[in-house]
Amino acid sequence: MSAPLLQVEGLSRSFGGLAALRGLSFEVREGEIVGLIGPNGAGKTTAFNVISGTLPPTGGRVRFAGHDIAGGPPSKAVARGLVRTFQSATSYPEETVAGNVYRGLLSRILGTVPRGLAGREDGGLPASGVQAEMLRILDLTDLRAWRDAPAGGLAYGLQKRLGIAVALAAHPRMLLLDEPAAGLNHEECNELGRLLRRLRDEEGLTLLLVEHHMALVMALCQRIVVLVQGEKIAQGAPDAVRANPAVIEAYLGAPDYAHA
Amino acid sequence: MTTLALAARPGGRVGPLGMAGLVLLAALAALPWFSGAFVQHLAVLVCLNAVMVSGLALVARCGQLSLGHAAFVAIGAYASVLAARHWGLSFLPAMLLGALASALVALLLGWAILRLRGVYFVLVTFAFGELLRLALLDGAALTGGANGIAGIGAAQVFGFAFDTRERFYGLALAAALLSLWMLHALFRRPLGHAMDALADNPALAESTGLNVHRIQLLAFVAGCALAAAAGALQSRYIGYVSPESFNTSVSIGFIIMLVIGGRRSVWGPLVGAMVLTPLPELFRGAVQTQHIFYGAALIVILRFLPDGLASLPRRARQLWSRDAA
Repeated sequence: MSAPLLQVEGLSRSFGGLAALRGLSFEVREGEIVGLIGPNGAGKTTAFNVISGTLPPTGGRVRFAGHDIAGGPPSKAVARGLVRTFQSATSYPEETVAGNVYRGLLSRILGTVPRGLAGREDGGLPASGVQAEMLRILDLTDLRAWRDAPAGGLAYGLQKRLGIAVALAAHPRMLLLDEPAAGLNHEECNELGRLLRRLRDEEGLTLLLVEHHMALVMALCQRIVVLVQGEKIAQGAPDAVRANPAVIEAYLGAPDYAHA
Repeated sequence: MTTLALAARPGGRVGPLGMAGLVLLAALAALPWFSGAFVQHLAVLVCLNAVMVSGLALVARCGQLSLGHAAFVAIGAYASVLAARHWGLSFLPAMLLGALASALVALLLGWAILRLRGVYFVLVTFAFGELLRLALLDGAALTGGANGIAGIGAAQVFGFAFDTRERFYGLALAAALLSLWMLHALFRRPLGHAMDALADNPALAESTGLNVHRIQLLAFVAGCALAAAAGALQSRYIGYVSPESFNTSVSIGFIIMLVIGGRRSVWGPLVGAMVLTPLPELFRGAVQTQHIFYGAALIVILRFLPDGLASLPRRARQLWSRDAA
């Protein structure tokens, strides 16, 4: 089995007296799709923010591809290949779809010195390759038809997909997806599932997603980590997690909900 | 299908309206040489202000508003004058030293405070401006205190003295055009696009690998160095520096020029300087009401023309095409 790409070890984070994360440890191997689930307030978003470098941890560490990345800034994690998306549809609303993807590419386009200033050492993209890379990402995310449309005017589902496209532009080895299905309808949700699987199978990406949409998580993830009140209470394959009495008690509730 | 929107960013092509604008600007730029001393004096001040406000524009394009910009002009002016006086440096090296001194101070200050957002950054830069002014007042042994430093000789470059208004206007115009061109070039390059991106959405820019703090720091340092270079020029033109020439109302004046001229356009600083520099000179008799006028103008611009006067041609084009359609 390959060495883990992401290692989260004893990660803690407190806000004043409130411990949002208590000694969280888990690993994600290259090429895996892992889900991080738990009830509201379990610390999922905090875990996400600490892993991506948005928040410094109060204890523990995060290793990505053998490098310590905890403590930020997030661009440092991106330089290693760990890129996050946002829970709400986050884009540059006044730019076009293509303009958004272009801005996602920027840390790779900048010349050597400004790239160093931006905190980027690898993934360089020569000017001649920019258009091709942009089109590749627009095609990969099925956004080519909207490329000249202003991002702010897109339907919500498209905006969320654009968020993934912008993250892809930053050249990730691993994507952290913060509730990618939130606010999507049934059809959009299926599309998202297909896209994420394609990213893993065709692009060789590793995915970690925080998600409430159980059907998507169960269908997509090879392993699931369950977080309750800042602590990991279970992890394993979807079926094992779904059958785990502690998980049912704390989060999933009645078994039929788990199949929803 | 159109080519990808990158090449067609605003300002990419020069249309007939743009050509007419450039011709008008060239005529305006040449006018002072055929006018009296008063117009020449105003033209010099417009050029110097345009450079200083361009520096502020660079900081503002990265999403931060400095209320201490005049302090960096002061650092450039004082450092260059003192270097010339005590070390016998000629004008260009002295100006370079002034810009470096300002850049160094901006680096230290910016490293510490650029993580502050919005009003906190504004407050700290305001405090820094006042602090520096008080330091200049207090360090009388070096700075001459409230009396300032008088009798500063004219700028000399390679033996050529810019000792008349006509000659100095040439130097000031060159400086203004150079700073305009530098900003224009920057904002057509990926680094400039990155600055626009992080001003629009810093969290998203950071999460796609742009180190927001470092890029903002770079812009702050460069903007303050530009202001300092203009300060060095100004000290040679006026022949006198004093702490009161760099107080907070000067910093506020820069902000007003930037907002009224246009924050998001490379042309904004020049337009703002052209509109606002002559006003105090023309309304010498109404100094008290001047600030009321500025306040009202600022509110009107922010309400009806948030991107400033420099966005008027674009607005006009939009209206025109809407009527034509």
